[in-house]
Amino acid sequence: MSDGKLFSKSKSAELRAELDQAFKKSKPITRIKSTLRKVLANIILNNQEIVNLMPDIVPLLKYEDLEIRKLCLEYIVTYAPVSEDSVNSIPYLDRFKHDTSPILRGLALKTMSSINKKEFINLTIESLDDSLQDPDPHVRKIAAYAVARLYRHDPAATEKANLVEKLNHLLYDNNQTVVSNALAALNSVTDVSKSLNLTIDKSHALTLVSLLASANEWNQIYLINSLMSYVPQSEDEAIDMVEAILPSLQHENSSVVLNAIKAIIYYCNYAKNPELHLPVLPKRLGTSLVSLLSKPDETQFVVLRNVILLLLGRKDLVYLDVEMFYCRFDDPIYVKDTKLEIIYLLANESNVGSVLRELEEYATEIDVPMARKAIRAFGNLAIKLENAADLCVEVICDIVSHGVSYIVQEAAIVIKNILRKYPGRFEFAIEELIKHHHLIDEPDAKTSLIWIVGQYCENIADPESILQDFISTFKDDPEEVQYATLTTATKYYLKFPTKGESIVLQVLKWATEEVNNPDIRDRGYIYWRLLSSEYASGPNGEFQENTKKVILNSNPIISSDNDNINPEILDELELNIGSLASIYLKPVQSVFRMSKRKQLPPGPTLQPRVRNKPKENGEHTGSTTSRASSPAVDLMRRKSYRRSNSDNVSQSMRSLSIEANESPVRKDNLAKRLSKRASFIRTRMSSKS
Amino acid sequence: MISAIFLYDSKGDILISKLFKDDVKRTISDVFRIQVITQTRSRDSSTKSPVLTLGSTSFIYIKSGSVWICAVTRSNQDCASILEYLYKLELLLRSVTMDKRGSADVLTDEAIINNFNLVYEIIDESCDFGFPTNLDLSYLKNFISCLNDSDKVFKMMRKPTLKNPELSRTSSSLIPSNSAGSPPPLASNITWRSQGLKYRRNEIYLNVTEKVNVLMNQQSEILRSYVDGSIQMKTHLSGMPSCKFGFNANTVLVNYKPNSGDDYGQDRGFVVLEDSKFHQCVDLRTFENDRVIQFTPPDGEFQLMSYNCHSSINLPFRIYPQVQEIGRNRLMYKIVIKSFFPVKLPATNVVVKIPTPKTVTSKLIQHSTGKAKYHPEEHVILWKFNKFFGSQEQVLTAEVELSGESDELLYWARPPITLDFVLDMFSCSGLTVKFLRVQEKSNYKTLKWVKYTSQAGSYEVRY
Repeated sequence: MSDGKLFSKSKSAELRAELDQAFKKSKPITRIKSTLRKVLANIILNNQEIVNLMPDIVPLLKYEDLEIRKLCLEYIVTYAPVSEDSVNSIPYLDRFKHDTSPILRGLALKTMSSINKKEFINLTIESLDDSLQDPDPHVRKIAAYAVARLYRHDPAATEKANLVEKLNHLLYDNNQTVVSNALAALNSVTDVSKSLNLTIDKSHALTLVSLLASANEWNQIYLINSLMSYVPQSEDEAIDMVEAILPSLQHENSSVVLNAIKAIIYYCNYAKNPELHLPVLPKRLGTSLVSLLSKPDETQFVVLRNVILLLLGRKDLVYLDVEMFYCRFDDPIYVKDTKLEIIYLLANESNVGSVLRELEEYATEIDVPMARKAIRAFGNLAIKLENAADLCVEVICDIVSHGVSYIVQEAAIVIKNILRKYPGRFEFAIEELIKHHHLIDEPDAKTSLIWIVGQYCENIADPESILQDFISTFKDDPEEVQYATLTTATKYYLKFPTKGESIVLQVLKWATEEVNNPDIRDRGYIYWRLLSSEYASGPNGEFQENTKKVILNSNPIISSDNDNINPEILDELELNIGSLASIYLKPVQSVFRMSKRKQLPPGPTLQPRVRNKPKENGEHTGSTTSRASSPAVDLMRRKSYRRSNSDNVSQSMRSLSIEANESPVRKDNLAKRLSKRASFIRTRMSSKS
Repeated sequence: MISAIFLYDSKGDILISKLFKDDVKRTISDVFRIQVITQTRSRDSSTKSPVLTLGSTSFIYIKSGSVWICAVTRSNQDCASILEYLYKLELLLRSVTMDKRGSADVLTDEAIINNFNLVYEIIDESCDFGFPTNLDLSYLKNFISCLNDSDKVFKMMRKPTLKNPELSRTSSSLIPSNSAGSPPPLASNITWRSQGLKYRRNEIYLNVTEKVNVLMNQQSEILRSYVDGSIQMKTHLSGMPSCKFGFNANTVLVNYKPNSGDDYGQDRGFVVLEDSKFHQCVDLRTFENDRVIQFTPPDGEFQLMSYNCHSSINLPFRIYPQVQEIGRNRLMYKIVIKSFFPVKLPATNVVVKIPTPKTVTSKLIQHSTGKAKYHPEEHVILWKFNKFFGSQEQVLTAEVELSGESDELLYWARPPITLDFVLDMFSCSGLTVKFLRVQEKSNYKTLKWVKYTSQAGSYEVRY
């Protein structure tokens, strides 16, 4: 018989009539059941109207049929909060909890503890004393969760009745399932409690380990999780615990594996160089992670995000082969993204050849977002690995030469970063890029290209026409492009006074007169004053000598060291491997405000976190910057690279404004060269001062 | 852990809703429908991420056919467990809601509505307070009356008639407490097998299935290759048997010796299984210490283990592609496929999928055997063989012309050529099962069947 025809919204009057009909039959059970299934359908469909049935449903509990009772109790749980009549079920529940059938006893307990009402809470508290010691493990298991439920409803009453303490006793139960579920329930209690924390002692930790062998997959998760409540007292102990958990890495359930990794990483905090004690560890962690990549996409995604986390904080503890993370043609975009991130993190001098070949494949793929990301990865790699930079630039130039718009745009951003990292090495790339400048229209790309033009106008064939092209849209450009245009026009004028004069005047005029943004306007004024200052030229009359010193200063070299995240955040994320926070790779509290903070408990052998060592060969000369505090690694890295251009401008801004202060501009000392054409500005300034 | 579970059909209508905690309301289902289901329907864009977090509420979801399964949680919860639960739930629902037409690969809304009572109960009993507790059918049977009261489910699971007095008694009796003989559900520590099973014929089937994943370049050099293997079992065994299991002597289950992978990998003839993963019934501690796979199997079908193999893989097929662009709008293909397995073995369902650009106007295909056809809707040439024997070589040449003004060739992504096949009685990793022992108190005889299948996972050739 199919239930399909029962699945529809009904009125309570209809259902009541059906029940009345059923009672008239000699054997009402089947009729009642089918009506109750209709009731269940209405629960599913969230029909609030059937709350009126409460007085009809409660008496049905008298039928000695499990299915009827189950359906009735489900109804009562759902509508009890909004129905006064639900208390009439209490006598039934009171009777059921002494029934001979463990299933019914469990059901009664589950029902009463699920309802957040004074009467039911009292009944539960009363019943739990017995239920926690019920002879049947099934009931004890339900009792454990009942305590957890009760704690959510009324923490004070639960603690007053000493129930958490009693729940603790279940941890010594002789049935493994009861122990595991009691741990899960305790976990739920401590999650919401401010004061309660689970701690276990050594012998208990060992007992839990021995239970792992016979536990089902979910129970293993709860057991492994609670192993993290033990603080090892010596390094050997920590290593022993790691060894004890190792077999679980081979479980088929991805969550068991991730939780095992979480526990292993936790214990590794309490031993110095755990990988030296257990040389197999990195390889085992690595292979168990890789083998989870045969799971469905969603699971893969969670695993991959955690791989990133481990690579950021525990590079020495996981051994991974970059080739395992190459994207498959049909991976969904979120998996590809994350894999790309991992490829970047895993790339090193020895595998860079293969990595670059792979990335080139993605860059020429039809999937636009993927191609863009691949190009960005090229740029990031060029900056991360000095030896690979030549190859990267070669490939980028090659791809740019196809003249595909989105590739050129992305390449512009990337080349700008490379030029800044390796001044004087890759100027040839500019030429290729400039050929396609007409394809560039996105703000980021435009900003980058304009900066390049300003910085390297000596190397460019016809910078004037390119600049003319770009400034034609000046008034409609977004802010960052306007900044870049201002700076570049000024630079160009300083380098080629005769050719640049008309451009700089035009841009400054627009910036000061037509743009509404006060920051842009101020920047425009500052350039004006600098250019027109009487101190602009050098002591021997060199053209704009001092202005050049201010504006044409060299940029600080960028580095890729901002791979690091704050160690405290890493610590906490590592205690949350496999959780939602691990997907977002953000501090737990910033995603989930209410969640309880987890910290590594102090122990005699707790090791201070070693920062990701600056990569062995010392190819990074730059010291770690304060970027380390940026939590969302991947996003931040991209953004910081992008932003570095404007950063640089604002930096030169800062030095500029200092110098400007040192030589205050007096209005009667305006430079003669520009004074005629700049008369409008003078009037403005005088009106200001 | 999980606050609520919702099942939706493709339009976003609720099929099942179950709340585990009162920290969310049933109406929260609307949020998911609006934020995810309608969004996905309006633009056919692929899913951005399998998790959506709004405030401190997260929606973790998967899709099976047109059915969405979504778990709602509050605060920071174990996402991996929840996903794992959703997938196991989907698998279980698929097997219990199957209709007479046979097994479905995906869930259908119809099947769920026709069994909504059962589905609701399964979700209710497999989780307590949102914590997954047990998703094994043998365990759930103890609590869910509909699983017992019709034989339907068992017939559909393709099980032979169960000689199980306990079960039939619980189903016939209205009051479960009457069945005093029925063992309390949690009495033994083995939660995945019920006690007192009896079969007239004791049988155990073992299926070694290997998926070969290869990525080759134009020169037919292997860029990446590995085997995803799994061992599926079907058991019809009485009592509480203990099984032991072993491979051929040259099989090495690594990841317990440092660097052993590399040493054995060099030495051909060794089968190196990396990182094997086992079903929950396998005693992992015994495996860790003695390298013996020992287990008490659940009744029916299950996956005993899965493994990876990266070295010395016997690739059954190789493809040598030559694709040339002639001018701006013509493409020449010459595809050679060679088989490398014993002559007498036939591979079946062999399909070579050769992508073409979108704007094909005319085509000319010649080939040695098999059937080749151009499918304009998918932009591929499909080259099919009913049977492909070992040590053979087949050639296909094709010429396609694109519409004159199109410059598609310039931007053509060149998706890889893919290959599909099924090859029975061949194991790409070289793995063979040497022994399988079943021990039980009553000392019965067991029939054992072993089958090997190799098939294509992602078998891709770039050109």
